[in-house]
Amino acid sequence: MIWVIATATCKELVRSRTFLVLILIFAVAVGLSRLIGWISSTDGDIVTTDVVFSLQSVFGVLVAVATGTVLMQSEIQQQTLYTILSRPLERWHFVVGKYLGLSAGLIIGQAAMLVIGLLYLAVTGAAVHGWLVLAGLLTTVEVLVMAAVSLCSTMLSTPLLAAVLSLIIYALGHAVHTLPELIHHLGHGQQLVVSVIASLIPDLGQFAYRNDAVYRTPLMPADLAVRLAYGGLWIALLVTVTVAVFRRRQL
Amino acid sequence: MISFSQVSFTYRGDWLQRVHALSQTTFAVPSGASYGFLGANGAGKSTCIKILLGLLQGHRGDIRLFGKPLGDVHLRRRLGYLPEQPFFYDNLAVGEYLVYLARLSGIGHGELQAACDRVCQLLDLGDLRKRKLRSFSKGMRQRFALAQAIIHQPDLLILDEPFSGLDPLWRARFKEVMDLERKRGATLFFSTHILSDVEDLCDHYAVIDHGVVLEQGRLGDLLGSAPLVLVGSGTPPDQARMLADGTWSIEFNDAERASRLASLPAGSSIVRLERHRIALEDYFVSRVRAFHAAGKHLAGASLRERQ
Amino acid sequence: MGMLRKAALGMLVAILLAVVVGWNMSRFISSTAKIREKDIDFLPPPVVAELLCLGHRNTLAKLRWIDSFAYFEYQLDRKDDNVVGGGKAGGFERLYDTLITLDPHFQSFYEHAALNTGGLLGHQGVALSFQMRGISEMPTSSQMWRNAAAILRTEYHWQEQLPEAFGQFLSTWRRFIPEDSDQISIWLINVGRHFSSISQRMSYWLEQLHMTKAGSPAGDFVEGQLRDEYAKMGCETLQILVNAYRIAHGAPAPRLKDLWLDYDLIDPFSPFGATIGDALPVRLDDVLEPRLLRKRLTRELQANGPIIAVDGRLRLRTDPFGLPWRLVADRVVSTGLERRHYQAALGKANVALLNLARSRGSWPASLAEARSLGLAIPEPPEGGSLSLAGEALEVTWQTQPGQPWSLR
Repeated sequence: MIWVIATATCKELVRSRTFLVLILIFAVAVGLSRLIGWISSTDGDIVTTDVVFSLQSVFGVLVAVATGTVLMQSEIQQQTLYTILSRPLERWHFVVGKYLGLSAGLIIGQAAMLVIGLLYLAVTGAAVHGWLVLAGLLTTVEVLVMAAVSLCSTMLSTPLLAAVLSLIIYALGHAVHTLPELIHHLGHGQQLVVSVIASLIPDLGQFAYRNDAVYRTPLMPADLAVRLAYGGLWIALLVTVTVAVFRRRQL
Repeated sequence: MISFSQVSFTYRGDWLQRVHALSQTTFAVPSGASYGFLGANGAGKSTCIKILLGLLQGHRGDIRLFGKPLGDVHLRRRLGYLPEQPFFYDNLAVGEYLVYLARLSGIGHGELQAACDRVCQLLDLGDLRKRKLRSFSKGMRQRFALAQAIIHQPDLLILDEPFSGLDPLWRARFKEVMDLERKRGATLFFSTHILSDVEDLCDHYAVIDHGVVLEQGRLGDLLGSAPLVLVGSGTPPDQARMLADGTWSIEFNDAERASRLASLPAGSSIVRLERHRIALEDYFVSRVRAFHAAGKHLAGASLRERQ
Repeated sequence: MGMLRKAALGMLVAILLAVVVGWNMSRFISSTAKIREKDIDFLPPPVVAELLCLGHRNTLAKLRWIDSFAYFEYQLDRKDDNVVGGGKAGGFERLYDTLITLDPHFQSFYEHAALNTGGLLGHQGVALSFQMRGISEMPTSSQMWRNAAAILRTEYHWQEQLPEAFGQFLSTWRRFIPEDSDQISIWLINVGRHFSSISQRMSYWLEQLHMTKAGSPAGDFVEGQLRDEYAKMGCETLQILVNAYRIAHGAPAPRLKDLWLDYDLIDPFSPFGATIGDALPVRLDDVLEPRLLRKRLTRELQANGPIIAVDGRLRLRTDPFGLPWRLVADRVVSTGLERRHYQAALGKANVALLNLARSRGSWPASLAEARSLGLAIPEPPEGGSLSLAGEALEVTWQTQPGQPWSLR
């Protein structure tokens, strides 16, 4: 059941105009990224590579938030889920299937963006190496975590508010990576409060390996495994919360 | 097939307000019946269906589906549902969508093709299999909605306003398809406020208003309870109503039939004796109005109480 | 009618598009370099900047860096890093501190930091601290070691004053990057060489030259610095010959081209060069930086010196700016360098003029009025005439420069 729902969701996503248009805009933006490389007085290739990988992350997160927040709400508002939930399946099947389908679509999108980006870098003469592929992989995990955040937040709010909330969590998720360096001037109690609040937000800095990959800074397999496990844990938590909320939801 | 016994349901309105959608609702749908569930907008029809489908939770009272308590999702394998507003994914083609929903209904790979072919043929969707649903008109979506509801040949078919958006030709085709489903042995459960459809298709009915089932039973019994009308000429009996063409008429029920015929005055002759045709719509309106006039609407209204 | 309407609509769209694009293009066509005095005024502390980057540290650092190029151009004129941003640390120091915190592996940040704080503003301590930070971040980057060595040698004179420490620094470099041994050897050989300060300053700017693009503001700046160094070195080279001529002939040299009449053209790397006398320089490579000679020898002797070999004879070329060398009271002068110094002094005078105008609320009408108001305006060197054109002092030269030296 889950795979059936996931397959249909993935098909629906990758054929949607939002998805295709965002990938198209990404391709155009990647094409224009060389302009920034030209403006740079030196190391234009590195600058272009940085911009391309930032674009992959930004567009990936935009797709994840745009589709993740609308995914469940449109099912509920347009009542498309009535014909699905009236069939012999549990609600958690539906949520997990939806998330897996969304993830599959986003992975396809990220792979397309990575291929476009790397091809562009290769054509323009910038260095293309395996570390960049690894950076793309971790950016994809970041996007999948954000998809789970969007899915979860849309269960608690309207799509618009959920999108805003997701983007705030994206910002905070990167901020919390730096936060430990900033809270030392606070009192012990305040540090504790800030630490607890920050711990409730996924540390998206774990997936920003793109900043190091450009310089071929190696990522050890154990480190990679830890980061993937961290992403997986957050996804599991967020999807479980979504299931818990959706199970009780009156449709 | 379906039985609601003393079922109540409330949902959350604005802020802390709780709205009572169903109150001690009781009705039963016999197996093999074609059941018309009548009610004005907001009467509680959709709430009953959503509870039945598991879309709404937290009811009180006993509901049985196929003789078993609700909660077992596998019961839904025997159930087909046509929603009131048939919206579907925009970017899936008809064929893909049918396969998707058929697989969710538990149809195995081996039977998928035949099942899809059958419903496509029934509802003339064969040429549209590769079209995406976003390009469909309301009527076309309604056809697809019926196709997905019957693709797994369910034992119970729940149809929420099935004829909305259809032109006369497709209304007729829908009725034919429903006849076929009945002949196959399916029970039909219509939720509608278009009463002529119920007259055409149903053999059982229930009237619901403000979450209370006002009346239920066999449609034949209802129609059979209409008074007889005798039109005669010559000397009119007492209480006869004179008609424009010089004839007269009297009304009486089945129980009075023998005595009223025996007591006709001499010099009178019978032109015709026929049963008065009840317009279900008139009946429905009169029942609901009577319910309101009896003050029960106040009771219904009082159900919407603040907690 | 329908077709006509369609065509008219299409035409309308095309016309509107052309107008809008033309309008936008005009902004580019008529644009001139704009100096933004406040462009690095907004700089959060590095940690806060990192927090605001949302995981795009590298990209945002580079965009900020590119944006700061305008500030660099501004500093070419002003050379007052505290005007913008103020505070204890200068604008560049705060800028590069932030950029390096965000993107610590991008070499150009360290090089530009050293170039701007050290080369442009003369804050060698700050420049050296950036290079040392670069070494700690990227201990296997030859570039970081080379730049730091250049600063230590050129600005802090470690080879003369702290030879042991300098040797230790070079040994550390060799330990981290064994492949650089040959290069380090050249450094070690150069220790104690004549003209070390000039040649090392030059080697620093040569390194910078390779890292910049021709025609870019940074490239132009580095070329200017390098021409300054070549001009200084040319002056010193010619001055040695002037002094040698005076000792040999007992009288000042009448013309520059008489200076090398006594010398043979020799292979600077031949161990058996001709000698004239112990007191005088005997080989051209004694008066020229040997590393440069070695680099340029394959094309032509002394490509970056004042004397060149043409058809087996020594000739005097122009100074690096395409202007003549002059002999003034037995001192060698580079006309181009002289003009550069004057332009720099004039820049400061213009700043003073601006401040004067701001305080008075009006601009002086003439040079005489400006001077009477207490403005110190330097006299232009030979061949220059000064004027007050509107709101700025401007100098015009009688002699226009020829082709400057090709440096790339």
